[in-house]
Amino acid sequence: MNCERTKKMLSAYLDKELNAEEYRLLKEHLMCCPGCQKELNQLRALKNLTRCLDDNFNYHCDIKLDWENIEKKTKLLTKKRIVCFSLAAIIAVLVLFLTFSQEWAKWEVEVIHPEALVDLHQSLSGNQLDVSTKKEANFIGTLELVSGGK
Amino acid sequence: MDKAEAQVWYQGLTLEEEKLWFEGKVKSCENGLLRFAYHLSGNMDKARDLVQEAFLRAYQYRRSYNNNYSFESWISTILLNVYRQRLKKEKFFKIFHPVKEREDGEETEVWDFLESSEEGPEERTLKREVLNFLQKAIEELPSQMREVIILCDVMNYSYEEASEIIGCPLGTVRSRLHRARKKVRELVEESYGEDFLSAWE
Repeated sequence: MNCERTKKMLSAYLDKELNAEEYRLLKEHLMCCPGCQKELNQLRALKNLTRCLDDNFNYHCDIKLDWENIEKKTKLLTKKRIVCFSLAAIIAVLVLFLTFSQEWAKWEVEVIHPEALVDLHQSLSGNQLDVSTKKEANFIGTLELVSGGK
Repeated sequence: MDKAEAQVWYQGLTLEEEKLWFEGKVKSCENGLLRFAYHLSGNMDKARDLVQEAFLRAYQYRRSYNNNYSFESWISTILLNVYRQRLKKEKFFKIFHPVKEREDGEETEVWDFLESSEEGPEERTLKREVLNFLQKAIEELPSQMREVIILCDVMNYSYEEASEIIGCPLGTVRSRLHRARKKVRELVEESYGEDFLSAWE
């Protein structure tokens, strides 16, 4: 194991958070590398100093659960959720309605009144279609006619 | 206990019993939570406020608590999320009303525990100064590094507990902590010299 890799793992070594193999390799390297050993000692000193920041904490938690307030806010949250859910549902219904109304309008022209497309084809291409062809025109046939016309 | 069983801990409980259960759980971890809030915010009033908010949210979402995990970790995660949201808000409002981080009078901690230590007065003074410096250095770290160093170094949590609270993999905790310590060490060495920490052991 080289020094660069060791230095990256020193922190976890210090906290005993390495697996057995990593731990063994690192220990072997530390035995023969004074530079890494020095760095480990500095890290340990820093960790001990940082730990002291918590020693100064001598407050006791005197917070009482204010059930009245908690209940009030919980009810408010429930109301908010209901309003948000209702709004989301209304928006979803509106979007669905708009999408389907547009699809329905297209479908109405293409399937229920295919003659409209046949007439369009005729006016675009200038070709006259006979009556029997007009009668047999359905949705797919009409589309073929239109695409053939192009 | 499997997952399905754990998720329905409230089954068969009345609302009053749920409240009692919640109160019991909160009592068992309130001091740890206040400590965490204090180290995050650096201010006792803010810390109390954070804990109150965390209790409220925890109660509102109590049914999403999974009995397989520690209650303290679960509620600490809630507290951390509350803190992150407030920090975002503060940062946003600072754009319009820039204010100083700390008032001058607040700048130094008392470090009462040093008074009862066996160290000499000079050592105590130096230690006091270094602790103030360390606290500032940690405050100035990027928030992700700060959260990890507070949990693992200041509060002495394991990597597993920290990863549960922060909600990231164990490897991420390890690398963030490594970077955080490196950064703090660099700052200490910049101000006090390269061999300062070696002499401190």
